[in-house]
Amino acid sequence: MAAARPAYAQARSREVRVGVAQDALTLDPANHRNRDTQNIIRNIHDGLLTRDVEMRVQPEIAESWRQIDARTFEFRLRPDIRFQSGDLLSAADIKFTFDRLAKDGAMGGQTSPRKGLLGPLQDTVVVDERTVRMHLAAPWPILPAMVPFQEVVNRRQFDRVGQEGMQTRPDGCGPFRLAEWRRGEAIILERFAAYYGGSTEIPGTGPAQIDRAIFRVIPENSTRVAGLLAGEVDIISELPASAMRQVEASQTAQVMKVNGTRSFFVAFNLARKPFDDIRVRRALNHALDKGAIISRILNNTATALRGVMSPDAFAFAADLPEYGYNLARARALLAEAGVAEGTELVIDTTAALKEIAEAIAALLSRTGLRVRAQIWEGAVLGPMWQAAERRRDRDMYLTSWGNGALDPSDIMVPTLRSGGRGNAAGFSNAEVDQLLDAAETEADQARRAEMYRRAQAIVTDQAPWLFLWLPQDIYGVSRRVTHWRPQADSRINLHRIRLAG
Amino acid sequence: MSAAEAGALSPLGLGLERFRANRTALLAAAVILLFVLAALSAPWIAPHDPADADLFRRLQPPAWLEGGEWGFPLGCDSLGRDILSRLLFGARVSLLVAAIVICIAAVIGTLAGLAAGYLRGWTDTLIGRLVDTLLGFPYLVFAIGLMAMMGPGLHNIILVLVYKEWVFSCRVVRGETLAAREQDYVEAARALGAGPGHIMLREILPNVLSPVLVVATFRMAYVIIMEASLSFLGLGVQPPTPSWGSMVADGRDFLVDAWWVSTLPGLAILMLVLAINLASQGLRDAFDPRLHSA
Repeated sequence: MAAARPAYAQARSREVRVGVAQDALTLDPANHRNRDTQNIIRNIHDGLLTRDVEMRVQPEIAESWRQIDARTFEFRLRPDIRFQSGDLLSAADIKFTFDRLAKDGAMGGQTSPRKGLLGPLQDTVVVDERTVRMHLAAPWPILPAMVPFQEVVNRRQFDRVGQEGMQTRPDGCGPFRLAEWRRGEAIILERFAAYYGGSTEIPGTGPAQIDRAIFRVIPENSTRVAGLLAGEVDIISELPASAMRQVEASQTAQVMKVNGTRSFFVAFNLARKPFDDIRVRRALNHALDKGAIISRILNNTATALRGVMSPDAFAFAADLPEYGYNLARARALLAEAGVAEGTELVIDTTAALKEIAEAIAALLSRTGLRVRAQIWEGAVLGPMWQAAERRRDRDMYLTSWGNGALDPSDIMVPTLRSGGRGNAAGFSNAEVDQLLDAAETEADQARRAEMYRRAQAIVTDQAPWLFLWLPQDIYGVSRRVTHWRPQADSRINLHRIRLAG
Repeated sequence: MSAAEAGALSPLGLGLERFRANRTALLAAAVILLFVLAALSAPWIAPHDPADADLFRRLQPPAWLEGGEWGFPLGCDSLGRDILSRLLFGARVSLLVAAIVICIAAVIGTLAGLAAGYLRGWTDTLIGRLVDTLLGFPYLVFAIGLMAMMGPGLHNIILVLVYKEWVFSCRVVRGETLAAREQDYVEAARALGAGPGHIMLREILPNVLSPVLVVATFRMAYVIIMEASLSFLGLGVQPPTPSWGSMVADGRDFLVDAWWVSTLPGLAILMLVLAINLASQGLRDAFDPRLHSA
């Protein structure tokens, strides 16, 4: 057994270990829709564009880009970028990558689950060795904000290993190459010495500063925290708020936080009584003592929301009125709407949000309603609330929607436009629909922002949701780690990380 | 005990007489009784509503630790709910599930075992294959699969556990019946013209009841653990109904800061399961004729 000593137990010099809750589902950048998977893939592959820690869009493989007209964008590539296999990157690889993402059936007969992230992208055309153009079916000004979500693959690697091979044998041009993937256990990455250096707009170019990076899969929260405190891992993601004190108290690690991009809310089933009555929806918004949950359970690691959008997002409406905590007002509104004391209401959610759901249920029950939480399997719950027919008998749904692009188009259109794929409440407002549609194609950013602000005001006024909060992402980080900061898009970028001592 | 006295007692009475002489088993039975009483009287003796959350009492320690108070003797969980009250109401879930599952399983298992053992032939083959198939699945995996399919809830957890649990009494009864059907009293009944129904239920059944009782008590401890395991995995009863298993699960993120949230319900499971195991060992010793044939 001595020979079977795991590779990650070897010498620790210049090796960073990251404890994550979930293994990658695949290493094919086109074949998933999963944040944790992308975190790992993004250290192997680079994108055409990227975001810096302030969330500004920056060039990466592209050296520059420009909008030619409302439906055309042009990207100019940097010269001399090599994939880890040694192949030279060219415009044909960019075309291959984006065709594979955006065209139906282009992924070995399947359509990429990431297609929706590229909106109306119709075609990618090679202009010359170092220039590509993207043609859109309709104007879509947020394309540059969405391109950083995609990673460039090598078209020759696809020819070599095929669709199946792409899942496990990545060939990117990022700072690390795959050494070994032990499913469910660890992903071991090695420094790619011939790395072109990454975005010139972000300080610290050149190959990675460490020799190895290991993502260890540690699903259990307390085990992950213990691993950090014992020095077995250097960074852990999804640090539970309840463990922050413990990490801060240790000599070896610290807590790092960053505003997330995920808005939490409870969707009311608007098609069902009593939620068809706006007074009930407003009453429940008044009834929840959000501050108590944020301070007591979330350890002050969340920002209360008055509406949909993150305060960091484009076109955030800062002047929305607030449904302040006011139990008497909530009771009065419920009585006015004729909702009887003791009416039973159920909040559906998944196991991960059980504690929050139970806390919300208990606090809402103070109105005299009897609110309880019901825990479901995620694979059952999501589809159930997507279909109007299947959610007919359900009351409320505690969920969240990520907005990594920090643009209303990426969250309001799916969750609040009539028929949107995440519109669990079944919200349908003609003016909101019209504003969202117009903003989607408006090239003047100031006018776009104005439309979105107006839409946010209507949504908050109509209260299709119980507006909750925007949690911070919390990381535990060893004090030996330098030159690393968590990012709002929850990327764990190890390119510039260094180890002290 | 004289031979004349012993002769006056039925096998069941004789066994109970022996059980009463076993101190450990008697103590265990008393502990079980205590749990049952606590569960039955939970609504009257619990100091608080088990679902009543007060975020300002989040993770309040038990009364004897610093920061605790006697109004909440065993402290509070992460939503500020009284742990003692939740333990008392949780006992209802554990015992209710165990009692219902064991009763239904024992009835089904006994009938199936009698039929298989007495009728033999294709009935035996059919039941035997079914039993083998069910035994082939690891219990927890089997239960998790079914629960994931049917959705969580008290009814479903009982159904899922019954699906497999009847197998154990069935096997025991079948074996006992196989032996009993060759006995003289069964021969005699058959010679007198009794039908298979009469022979199985009136002649054989009373003579195979004691092993069923022993198996049922043994299995009861197992069912309690299964319910706790499924609830731990979030597949058990739905909140806000407290269950010991889900209480352990809820507290695991706070093990370092607030050990009592997980530990106390864990202790409750340990005590109840240990008591049932000791009691069922006592029952087995009391009813096993091989131990007392001399």
